[in-house]
Amino acid sequence: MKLKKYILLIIAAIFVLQSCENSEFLNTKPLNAITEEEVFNDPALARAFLMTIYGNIPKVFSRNGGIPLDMNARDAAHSFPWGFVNNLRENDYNAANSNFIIQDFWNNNYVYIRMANTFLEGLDEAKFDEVNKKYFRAEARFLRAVFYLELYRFFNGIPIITEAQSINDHSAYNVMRNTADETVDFIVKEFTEVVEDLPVEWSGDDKGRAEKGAALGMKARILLYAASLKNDVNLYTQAAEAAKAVIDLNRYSLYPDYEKMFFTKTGNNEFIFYFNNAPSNTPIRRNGDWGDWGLVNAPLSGGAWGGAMPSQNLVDEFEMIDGKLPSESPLYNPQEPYKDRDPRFEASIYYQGSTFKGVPLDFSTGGKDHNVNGFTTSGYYLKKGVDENIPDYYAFGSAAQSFFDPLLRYADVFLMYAEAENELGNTGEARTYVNMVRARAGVNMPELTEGLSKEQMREKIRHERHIELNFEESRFHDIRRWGITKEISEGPVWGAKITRNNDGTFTYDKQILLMHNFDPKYVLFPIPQDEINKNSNLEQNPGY
Amino acid sequence: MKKCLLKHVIYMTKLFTIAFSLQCLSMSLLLAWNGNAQVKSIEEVSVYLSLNEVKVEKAFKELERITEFNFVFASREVRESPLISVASSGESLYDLLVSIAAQSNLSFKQIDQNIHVKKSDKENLITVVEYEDITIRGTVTDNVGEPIPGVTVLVRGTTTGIATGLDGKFTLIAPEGATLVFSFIGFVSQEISVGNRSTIDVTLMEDETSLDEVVVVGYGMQKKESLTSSVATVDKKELQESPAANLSNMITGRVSGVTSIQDQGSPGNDQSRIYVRGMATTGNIDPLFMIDGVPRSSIDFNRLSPTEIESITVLKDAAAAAVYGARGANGVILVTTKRGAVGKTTFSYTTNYGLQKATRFPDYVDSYGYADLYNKALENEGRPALYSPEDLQKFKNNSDPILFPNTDWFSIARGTAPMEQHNLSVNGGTEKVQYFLSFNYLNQKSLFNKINNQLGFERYNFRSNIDVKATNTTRILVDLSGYMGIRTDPGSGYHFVFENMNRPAPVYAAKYPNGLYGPGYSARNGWAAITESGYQRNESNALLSRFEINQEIPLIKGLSFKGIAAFDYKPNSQKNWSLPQKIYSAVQDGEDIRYDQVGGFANPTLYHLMSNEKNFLLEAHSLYYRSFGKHDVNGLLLYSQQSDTFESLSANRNEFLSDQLDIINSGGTVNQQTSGDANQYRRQSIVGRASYAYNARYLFEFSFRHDGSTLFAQGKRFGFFPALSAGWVLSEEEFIKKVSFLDYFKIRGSYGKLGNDRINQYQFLTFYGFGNGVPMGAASTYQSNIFLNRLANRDVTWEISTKSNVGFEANFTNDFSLEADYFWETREGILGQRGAIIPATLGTPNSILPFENFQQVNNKGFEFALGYNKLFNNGIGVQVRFNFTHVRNEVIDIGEPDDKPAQILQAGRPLFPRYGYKALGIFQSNEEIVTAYGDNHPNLQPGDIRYADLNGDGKIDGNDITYIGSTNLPENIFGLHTTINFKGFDISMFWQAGSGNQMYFGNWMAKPFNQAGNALERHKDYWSSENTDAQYPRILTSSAWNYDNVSDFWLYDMKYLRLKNLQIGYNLPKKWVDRIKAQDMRLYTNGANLLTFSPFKEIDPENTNGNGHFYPQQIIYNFGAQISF
Repeated sequence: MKLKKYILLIIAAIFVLQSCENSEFLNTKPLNAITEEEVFNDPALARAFLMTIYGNIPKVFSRNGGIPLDMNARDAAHSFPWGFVNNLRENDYNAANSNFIIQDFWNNNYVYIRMANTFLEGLDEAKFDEVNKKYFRAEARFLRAVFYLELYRFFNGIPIITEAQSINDHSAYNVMRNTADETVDFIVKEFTEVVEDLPVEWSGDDKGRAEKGAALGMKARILLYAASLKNDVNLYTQAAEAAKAVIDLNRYSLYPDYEKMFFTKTGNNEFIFYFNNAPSNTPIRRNGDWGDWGLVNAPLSGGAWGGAMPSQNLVDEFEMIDGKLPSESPLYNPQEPYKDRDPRFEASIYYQGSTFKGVPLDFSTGGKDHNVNGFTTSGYYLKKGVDENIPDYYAFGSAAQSFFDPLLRYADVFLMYAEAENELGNTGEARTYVNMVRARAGVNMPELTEGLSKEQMREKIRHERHIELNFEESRFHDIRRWGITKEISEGPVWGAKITRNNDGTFTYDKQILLMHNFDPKYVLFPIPQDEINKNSNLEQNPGY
Repeated sequence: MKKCLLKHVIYMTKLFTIAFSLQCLSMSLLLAWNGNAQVKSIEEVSVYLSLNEVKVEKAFKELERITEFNFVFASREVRESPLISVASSGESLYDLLVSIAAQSNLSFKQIDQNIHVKKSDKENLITVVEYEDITIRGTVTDNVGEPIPGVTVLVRGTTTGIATGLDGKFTLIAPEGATLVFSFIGFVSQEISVGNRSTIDVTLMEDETSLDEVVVVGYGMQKKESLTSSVATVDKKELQESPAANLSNMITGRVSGVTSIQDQGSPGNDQSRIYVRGMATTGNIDPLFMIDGVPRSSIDFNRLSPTEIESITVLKDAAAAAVYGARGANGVILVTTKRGAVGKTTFSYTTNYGLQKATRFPDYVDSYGYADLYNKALENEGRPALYSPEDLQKFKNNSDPILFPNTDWFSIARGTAPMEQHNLSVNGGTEKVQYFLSFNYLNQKSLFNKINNQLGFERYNFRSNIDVKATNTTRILVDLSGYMGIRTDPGSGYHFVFENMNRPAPVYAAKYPNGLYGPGYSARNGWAAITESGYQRNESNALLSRFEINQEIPLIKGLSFKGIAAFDYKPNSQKNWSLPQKIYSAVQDGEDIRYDQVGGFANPTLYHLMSNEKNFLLEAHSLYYRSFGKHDVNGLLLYSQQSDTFESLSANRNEFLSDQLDIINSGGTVNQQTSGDANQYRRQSIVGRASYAYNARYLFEFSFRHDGSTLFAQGKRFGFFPALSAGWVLSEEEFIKKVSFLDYFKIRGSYGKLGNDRINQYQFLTFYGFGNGVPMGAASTYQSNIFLNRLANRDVTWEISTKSNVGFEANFTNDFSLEADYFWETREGILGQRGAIIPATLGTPNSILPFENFQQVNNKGFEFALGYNKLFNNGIGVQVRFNFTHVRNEVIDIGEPDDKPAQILQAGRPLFPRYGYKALGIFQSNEEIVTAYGDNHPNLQPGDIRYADLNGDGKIDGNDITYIGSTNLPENIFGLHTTINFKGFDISMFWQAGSGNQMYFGNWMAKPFNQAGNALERHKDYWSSENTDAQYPRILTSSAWNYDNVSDFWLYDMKYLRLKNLQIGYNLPKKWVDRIKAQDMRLYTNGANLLTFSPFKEIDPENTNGNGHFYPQQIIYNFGAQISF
């Protein structure tokens, strides 16, 4: 019976040991992750968190699956007749079936805003030096404002959220949209306040982080956007001041090679704010890297997909080297339409006879680049930002695109400044700065004629923006803030129809590739219906 | 019917003793031997005897004294006989017996020296059977050829009998012409007429309806008779009928309650997903695999060889699985491996050689058909033809195979691929030590064996199960086993290969006559990928061990202790060697053909991952079993702790200079990458079970597990999972005993709570993970970045499953058995994300939104299994087993917004619903279109699909989308297994069917020319004004209304019936086998997936891909031989 007692004791002991919630045996911690507390105890980890936010800044060349937004302004057709391409080129999106890309614009920016908010809240508790904290805080606010600027341009007034809301806080589910003015004021305020805390210039491993110039330039962008929508002198004044402040930093300069500035491996002084997609160790394409600008847009004959096809509409906008449009210039020869054009044409667009990786392209009917397989063809491919040094655009494990994704270039600052000054009546000042853009080394386009009226100058500036910033998502937003979306976005998209003659010469004709519809509602994107379903306080944009 | 041999021995001893004692009690044993004497007929023997008014017994005694005969009778036979008188003076014994018979109502039958006495049957009062005794020897085996010890061999009508020895052998003296009755618990009794044979070998068929069957249950064994829970066992012999390489592909449909889907068939990666009683969760649905009492992975299960398996039990209801607590909700699959038995060492060698072949491939058009169809589609779009009449002609007569090829992309996959398997097992032991050793080798080649023989799967298994009787009360078990599984896929992976055999049109060249690979679709060529893309080699290795000490406690009767330690070590590796696939495009260059390279420019890259996993289990069990009169008491209490750790390290290099050496070191150092991971997991539990039976009639059981793990936050760590069950053996009741055809009838019910905690670790913490780096800085380098992995859910816990089950088991007319169950389950607290409710403005996408326990799914169904087992007098044995399972789930709450339209609500519908338009056929005219939609859809044309305008607004848009169907998991599963044995031959057949499953074909299988893809033969039946009764809408080259919209037009019923296995075997006659000194020899042929019937013909009905982009399921034709010494 002794034994029996002994056994019962063991069993009892096991029970006591076991049923204890504090079981040492079960007190373990993750072996492969860092806890939140640890992140804000170490500036290196906090910086690493900030890097993630930098990694998510809006990209021009590498988002939307490599599909350029400027297609919407009839600057291009596209060989993928599905999805977002259809929505964009034919102005066919609505709230219920709004394409996932529009949903991404809305959803993702709020994801990044939350990251910034979480980061800012963490910083408040952080146990490290104030210098790092000052920069981190200013950068996080800057980045957050960039995301809001993005949302504002696509959706107008949006809910402004400055804290990482708890998922259990049901009041957070029912936020209202702030007005457009409130949104602009908020963004302007944020950019203004962080300027002070940001350095003029970062160097070393920090090059690429937000500087004073970036905050001032972005501030100019939001102010000019609001100013042109409202035709507000005060806003134009502030925009001009902000742009001028960037110039006065004497920190930036125009890069002397228009084509190559996107591919400078170590950066350049023209790019004020950018996504560095040009790591020195060549990035490798991995499974899932589908939206690669080069893969999607480089010529089909080069092993890529030949997606975006610049339109004749855009090509016709490139001046001849005499500063006149082809339709007006005596230099223009319809048999050799691409001769003597603004050098920025050569740098931006592959055309009949230009070369890709040293091999001439042939868009003529029956030529190797004449895409017949059910898709339309414009006779052009997109060159800007397409890295030719890729052995195989398709293969995983092959080198990926390497370029600088331009969010804010110095040339844009010049043009913004010129535009604001012109609207304020300072046509001369405006002309000076437009000419500076035209005078870039390697571009060297003639100066604008003197004595243009404000209206004439306005047209010149708009034209210059179109050319200088082609395919950089400027056009899409510009036509919206100028209120000319209908004129620009609606109508036929033209392509070149090129026929090879028996004598080896070519005949160039135009053909309509497709027609764009338009409805006033399309100046803004719809808020995804799903989101309105979740939060009935969200008011839909007009027309949707 | 699963018993290891050791169990056989124990049971034999016990039961045979009981059986014999019973016989002794009820019969008078009058056995006497007089073997040397010449047997005379009773007619030849004269007797001198005079008796007056005596009992017959007295008379018999006297006769025995004066003659050489023995009288054999049961006392009850003669008890009522009147007193008799006899007087004989030299008359024959025959006459004397006639006289006794007349007086006493008895009849007599002489068999040799014995005179059997029975109550008279009035006809043959006296029979004389005159035979000589002969010595009969033989072996009793089961139909796998294993000897059965302890089989009772009786001479029919006598009490003469003996039991077989450990080697299944017996020697018996019986009269010539006698009939021997072979019986053993768990087997169908068999009667064999001796004739004049001196050797009789018998194969006994297992009795599926046997009540004395012992079933492996959680942490123990139980008599099936006394079970109160719902369990099913898979017959180990049936497993051996299937030549499939993967164990998971052998069990579906074999027992009720188990459903499975085999997504694809690539060697080494062809496992089925197993569902026990359907699915009741959006989370992990895998059952728990316990191998020899140790929780192990599905890979450990898949890699087992059927030759090492003793039994597989499926625990289905709460009562059966509650002992597995937080892991039991999805059901439990228990595997017991074979053990050694006392006896002579037996070597058994089995070899199998098989050929595999794809079950199905889509039927694509040829190049002429493609070009012609493409032109017609262009015409429909109002565009000029792409292929000129000359082009078409060239495709048709194949006159220019370079520029106008006709590629059958599947031609390289249509052949057969070999597969072989060898097994050697050794079994035997002494009283002290018993062992079972097994070695198994499998080599399964891929369908592309002919062009790349590196592809395929190789598996090595070994097992050594040793039992040591250390003292009279102590048993030690040492089990070691291991496997190496080496799977080699093409470098691009099979998905890429099959995608690029399905997608490219036949007008693209796969391979030019000069041997260069053609361009395929967009410079992706499935053929090139097979031979040129390198390899992906996955090695899963394991060393599994288990040690057990089993100690009876002598002082307390019925109490024993068990200590178990199990340690598993699993080093795995994954090596992806990616080579550029050189692809060319032929171009007409003046008079010549030029081959431009269009793909395969990159350099080789290598990714190498090495990982290891260590699992450690410690358990202490105390068991108690006692019978007190009519009371049976059974108890179990155990403590278990488990600790698993996982580590990995991987490296990646590219820019390899050459494709000759595939190790990390030979790669370029620029952009080399390393990565690593680690994880750990622990669990602590107490398990208990108590059962009580009264009079073997009323059965009760309670079981529980108190389970805690590192998955949950402190304070939320432990859960208690109890279950109650009861049974009533009605057939023991007097009022049922009268029902003569009913041999056994039990009703039972169970109710309990289980958990499913197969979730990610540490969800109760907010933590950050490392990203791939963000490029930045003057030197443009990747700078470390971390990101929030997931927001914490402090309260995260397991899913709670409440399961109920009612059922009955019945055996009737000796031959039939029926088991039926009705079950229902509520699964609450399924982890879900509230992404559908939480607005995007919170910035919490599903990637960081915590999982919370709010979803609920109900699941219910019924199942039954019907068995028939009969051995006919002519020696034919027939076994038929049919089972059926129906199970259906219903979403109760899955976190949907309140205002979600009813037609797309998930609640009230099965899990994983599919939404789309209801298709109402094809528009035949413009008038029809206008009538349906007015002018809202001006682009529509006759030949387009007509969708139901559910809200009647004349417009087809998102508001007309509704629920159209669910998943590819069958709601109903049928299994029919038949075995027929006859004279050494056996044939068995296993049919399996599924229904209530659907597949949506949205892309390539639906749309011709989808994303520049191919077209199917059946696409030729498209709508046109000449073919208005077409199967498919009007044909177009680009996607459109017809093909882009998700609708039930493209939803196909995937019900199927397939001949899963067929086996024909022959056991060679003993005399042949003896000649080579073997114990037995067997030849057989069998096959898997031999026939498949289903309404959708182009894809295997079990696939889940829907595009054909997968390695197809396999038909296997196999030949095998087995020999043991």
